[in-house]
Amino acid sequence: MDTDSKTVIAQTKQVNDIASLSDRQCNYTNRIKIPKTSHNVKALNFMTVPGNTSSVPYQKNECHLIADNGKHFVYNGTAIISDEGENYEVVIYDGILDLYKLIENKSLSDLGLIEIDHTKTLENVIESWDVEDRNYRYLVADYNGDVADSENGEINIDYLVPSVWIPYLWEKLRLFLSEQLGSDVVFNGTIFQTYYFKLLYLSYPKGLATQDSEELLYSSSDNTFYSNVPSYSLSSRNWYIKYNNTDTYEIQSDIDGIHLKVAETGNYRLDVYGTIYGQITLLGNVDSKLFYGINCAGLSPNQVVANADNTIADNISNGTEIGEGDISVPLSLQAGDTICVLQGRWPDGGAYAPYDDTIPSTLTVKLTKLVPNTISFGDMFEEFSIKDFLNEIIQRFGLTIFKDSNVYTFLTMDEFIQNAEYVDWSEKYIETDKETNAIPGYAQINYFRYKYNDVESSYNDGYIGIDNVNLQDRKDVVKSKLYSPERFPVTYFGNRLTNTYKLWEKEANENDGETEVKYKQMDNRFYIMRAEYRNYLNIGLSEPFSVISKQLNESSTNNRVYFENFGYQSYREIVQLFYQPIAKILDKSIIISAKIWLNDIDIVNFDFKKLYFINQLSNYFIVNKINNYIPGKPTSVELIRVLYYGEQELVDYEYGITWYSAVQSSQYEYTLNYHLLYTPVVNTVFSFEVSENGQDWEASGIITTNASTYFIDLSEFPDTQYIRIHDTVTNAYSEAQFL
Amino acid sequence: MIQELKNQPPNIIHFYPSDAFNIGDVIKIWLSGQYNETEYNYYVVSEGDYEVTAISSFEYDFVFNEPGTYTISCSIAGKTKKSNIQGNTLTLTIV
Repeated sequence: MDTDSKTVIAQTKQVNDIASLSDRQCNYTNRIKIPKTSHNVKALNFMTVPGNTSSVPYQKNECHLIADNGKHFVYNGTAIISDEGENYEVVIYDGILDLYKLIENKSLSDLGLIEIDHTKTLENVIESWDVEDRNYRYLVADYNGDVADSENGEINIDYLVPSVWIPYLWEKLRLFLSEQLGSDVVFNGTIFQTYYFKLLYLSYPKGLATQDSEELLYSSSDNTFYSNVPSYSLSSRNWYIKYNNTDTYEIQSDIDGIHLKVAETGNYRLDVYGTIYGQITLLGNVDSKLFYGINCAGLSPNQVVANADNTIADNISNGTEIGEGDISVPLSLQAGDTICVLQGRWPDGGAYAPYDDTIPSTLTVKLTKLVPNTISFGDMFEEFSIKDFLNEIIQRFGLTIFKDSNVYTFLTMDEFIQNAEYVDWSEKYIETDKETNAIPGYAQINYFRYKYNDVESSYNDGYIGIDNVNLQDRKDVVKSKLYSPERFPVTYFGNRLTNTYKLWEKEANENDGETEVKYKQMDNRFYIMRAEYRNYLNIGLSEPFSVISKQLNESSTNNRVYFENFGYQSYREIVQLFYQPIAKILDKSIIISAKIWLNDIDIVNFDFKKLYFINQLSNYFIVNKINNYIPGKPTSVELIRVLYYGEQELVDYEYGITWYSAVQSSQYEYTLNYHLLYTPVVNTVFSFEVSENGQDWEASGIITTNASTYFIDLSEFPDTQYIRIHDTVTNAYSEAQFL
Repeated sequence: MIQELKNQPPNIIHFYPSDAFNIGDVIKIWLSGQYNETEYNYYVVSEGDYEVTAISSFEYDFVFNEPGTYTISCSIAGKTKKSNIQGNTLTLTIV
């Protein structure tokens, strides 16, 4: 594009504004004025010229911004172009804008999830537990439905729902972006290889029945009997049922009002009921049989052979009333098949006899399509936007996205801040413009929140606290689209607790003095959970799980299942695991706006992943934003102080005990994982101390000799907020672990 | 205050309810606590006769073919500098 000789292109670079944990930003230039030279007008397809049909203002315009040294400031960026009177106005975006543009207004159903659609059968549910790599599993949990006799190892699949493996959705997102861009997109990130991510599942959002549903395609109660066989034929003993009028007509078509054609391959049911009067012979009316034929159009009724397979009733006495539901025949039909119903003499044999039509027919014939209970993730996930899904993953792990061409690297704050390389900017520092102590956008308590069935609840929320009374009281910085399970786990099997993820509502009704519980499906509730493998011995059962469906009236047994687990999913744990570096930066924060002497090479090669050391300020910094870089001029840079203490020395921890995790499995039970930075004396006893405030400690009396993990029950200490470990031999202590 | 993680030892963990397994069980062991594949190689090993499949640096499937007690340990070794940090151990019983 032609530019004016006075055109100045100022660039702003940013990956994540530290003031916003809820979304992610990208790089951009200031507004650049482009003169309307004939070359520019032609290049923009005559945009703004009267009568033009240019699509430039509406489309993604690929652009490159190149420095004087030939290096790319922006490679394959996006230019937004608008009219500004005598000039065009252009803003160039780089970074992750593409990513968010491509998923705008798209839902998870656009990822092409049809390959995991399935019918909910006993076989498929069990297979979801038996197959090692499965993109969905029926995680065993309490969904507030009928849990049957779970105490004795019974699992009722009628009230289970499938959950999709989140790494599968993540891969589908990558493939979707690759397809949209026409080239392979790469997602890098160590977090995606860890158990924090690889065990995660997203639930189906509504309760669903196990039974098939039905669709009535055809119904007729006004019919007569038809045969095209001449009356003198001795073999004329069968009659087609011919329909005069219909009550329901949803079939594809019919032939002669006799042969009903279906449009789709699938399972159907034929129902016949009413009163049948048979044929008139010299000896009076004779008994009948009913049978059906498939693809018999063109045949005379006598050519349709009745046999054991297609006879639906026989030995029907003259004038017998066939009750509704007495003749109900399952059929498997192909698209385009026709089905007809015939009446014949019982027993076989005898000469021609006309059908007795002196008494009006009362037969009703119905054809019903059976719709299998197909689980369609595509339909159900229409309510969940891809943007929300991406944000859930980013916020859950506190990720920062770095883009390099089609490679997107997602780093945790640990990786980004505590494993960072550092660069000395002391020689580039000019002066400090401004120093502030509060990062805008934060309050003293900054909440991470789930949705709750009880909207007043907050028990799985977490927060980052900032010790600065000048900030506002509290604020929601992350609001998840996902629901939290209910507050207290319930006993599902003998010695196992499970969380309740409400997808059914229970309604108790009094009926003849007995309480009848009805289960009403709930909708649009997405839950996240981890899969936890267990076999029947693991949970204290002596026999394999009994897997039943009351609705299908089927049962089976299985040795293994996958249970739900909400470990690491409360925001309290998430903040502890993934937000500590930022929490430490926000507490006692210093934000400096400084003039830094940057050149084109600095901008081209700039890396937000690194820490920057400035000797004059005696500190390390994260660069939050580079504001309006113009070559040859000092640049205003927003710096966030990092109190950086370098590498941890192992020798300082000669008798240290470090925490890895405290994973809650019920209200008071936790699996504790810790590590000794020394070799303990043989048979060392470790005691656990508990505290309500992290200051005043009480010996719980709970001890172990296990030097790495312990399953602890704190039900006798219900107010415990913190726990620490004490080596009673060396007198080593762990730090306080917040529970 | 922020401290580098470079010297923090890795940690191995499993999510089974007990440390006892049958011969031939596929036992999934996870490694956490130190995520820096640029700087380190990751090692998760056991004593004795076993098969291991490394799904990634952080996920391992162990199979033991003989009954006994096995100790699985983990460590990370610097790619460019001579540093080797030992992590924790897990003791499994195979019956």
